[in-house]
Amino acid sequence: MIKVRNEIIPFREGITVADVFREIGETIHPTTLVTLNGKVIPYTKLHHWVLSDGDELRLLPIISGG
Amino acid sequence: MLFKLVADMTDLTVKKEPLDEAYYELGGRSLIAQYLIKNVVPTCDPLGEGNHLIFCTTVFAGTKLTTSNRMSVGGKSPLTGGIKESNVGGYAASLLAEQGIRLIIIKGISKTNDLWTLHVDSKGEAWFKEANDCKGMNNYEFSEQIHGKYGSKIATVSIGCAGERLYKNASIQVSEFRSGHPSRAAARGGLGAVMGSKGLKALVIEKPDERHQLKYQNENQFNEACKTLNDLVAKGVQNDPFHNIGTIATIEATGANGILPVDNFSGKLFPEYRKVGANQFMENLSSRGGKNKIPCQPGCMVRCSNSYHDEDGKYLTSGFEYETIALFGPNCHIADLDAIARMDRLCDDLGVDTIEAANTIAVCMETGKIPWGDSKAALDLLNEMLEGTDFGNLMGQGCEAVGNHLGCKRIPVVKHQSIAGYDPRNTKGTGITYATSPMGADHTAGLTMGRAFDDCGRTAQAYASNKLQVAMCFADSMMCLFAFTHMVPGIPLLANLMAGLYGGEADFNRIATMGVKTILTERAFNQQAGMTIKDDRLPDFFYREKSPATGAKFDIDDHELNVIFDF
Repeated sequence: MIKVRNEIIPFREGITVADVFREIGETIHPTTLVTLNGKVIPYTKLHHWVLSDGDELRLLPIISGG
Repeated sequence: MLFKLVADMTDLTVKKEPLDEAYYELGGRSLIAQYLIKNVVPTCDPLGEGNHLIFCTTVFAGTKLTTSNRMSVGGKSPLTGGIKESNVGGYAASLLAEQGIRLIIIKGISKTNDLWTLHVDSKGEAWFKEANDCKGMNNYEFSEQIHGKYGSKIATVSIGCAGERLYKNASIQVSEFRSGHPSRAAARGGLGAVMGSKGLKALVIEKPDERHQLKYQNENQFNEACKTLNDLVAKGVQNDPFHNIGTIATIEATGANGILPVDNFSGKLFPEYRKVGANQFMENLSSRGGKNKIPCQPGCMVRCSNSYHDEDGKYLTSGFEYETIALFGPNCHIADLDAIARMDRLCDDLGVDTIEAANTIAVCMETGKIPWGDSKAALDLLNEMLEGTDFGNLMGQGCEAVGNHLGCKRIPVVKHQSIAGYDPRNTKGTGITYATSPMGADHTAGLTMGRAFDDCGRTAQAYASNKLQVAMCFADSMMCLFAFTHMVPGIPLLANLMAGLYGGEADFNRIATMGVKTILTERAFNQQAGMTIKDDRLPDFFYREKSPATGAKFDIDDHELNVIFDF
């Protein structure tokens, strides 16, 4: 299973971050940080990043500057 | 009753008086605007006796609203020549609120070469204390000395030797809650020089023996709205990268989309940006005993601050932020987070704006004075400011002065103040904010990144900048922007807070009016100071040069900039 927000997405071989986003109805936007098991995934690699069973994704939108 | 301190450096008197009724429903940026337009001649010499330096807390200081204990510093800026409000976190505003003090006015200029501190003690008494033994002392040593003498329940608001030397890039540093590190900066616009010109080294504020009790007109109304807004922040920060990582997280977004400035705003991408990004930062914290999720003021839920340690695990700097990292990092072609942390520490200690100092380094690299990417050479130049060499003193006059001296053709300033860590070609609404904000090139005045449809496009950019600039005016009067961002769904409740504390109707017009009136007042001050629409433009190279990362130029029509505040 893949955990994202408060949802569980069934794992399947070859599932990517883009697939997960599509299933939860999210758009990949450069100002949303995506962490995988606590580490930030580069925006340029998000679309094709292949996930493993048990991975946890978090979406952290940047909504101000500092 | 709330109070103000009126401190006259000319005769070294301090009077504690009731706060003017007209200022009760003002705080932070809104209070600074109304105070300065009434009391400071806009054509005065910013380093002369006609300028006033004011410190104030927010409209909701002393309440339970998270981050409401923020401090604003104001005056005529020696860098921009216009009005300046520079706000800062740290412990000082919280203690002033506990003392019942909304406003501190510093007028006049010391008649001698003596240096002074303004001390507010635990009984609420305030007086000037001679501080000649602190001449030339920098902020870390000063803060350690004061905390060593008075303990942890004290705040310092100080200048380093940069402010004493009247550097136009001089900041005012506020000590952080708990740690006491002087790492929170009222950085922009050279207000540290105004403080130095008056002979004032520091404010030293003690925690009062008896906490001032605010008089609410309808405490239930206030508390209900406050709880809802605080709950919004508590929920929002769970997924806020500033809470989970720190503001350095912004590098991950801007580095990928061309908004991160690279090589003096060349508009290129920087392939190594991740070496100064979130993962490297978190790894360094974890392996060296540093920490994130630190509140800079009591009661802050965002907790974006941090304590960053060196390779040996020793404390190096805190409040290590995106702007500093972006501008000393990729904008100088530097990909060494530890070197940048040393620069941050040096700037906080000496008391200079990291944005201004970093842009100054970048123009030194552009003109070949030092090589691109040479972090040692960059640190050596910053040390010249510390030592007060001839070139160091020139650097203290800011990026434009150094750029002109070195013959740089690409000087990234608006109203003489350096541009922040967002390339305006690739976030055009932010570019409009840089150009039109009365504050000069200030990203906090209205950062549109991610909000204005296509950041590189032209559609609705001026609309977004206008709305944000007004919103930031009232937000900067009430709380930290990072908390405000999470309160947006509950914005109408700000009116309930006003009514609950000050009485009257819970009418949102009171809030909106505060924003519009503040920005129009600031513009009026600047016009009277001599600024024209020519000052509301970006440097020429942003209009001419395409960003290689996106192909975008800053192609917003002048007309949109001219009418942006025609309400």
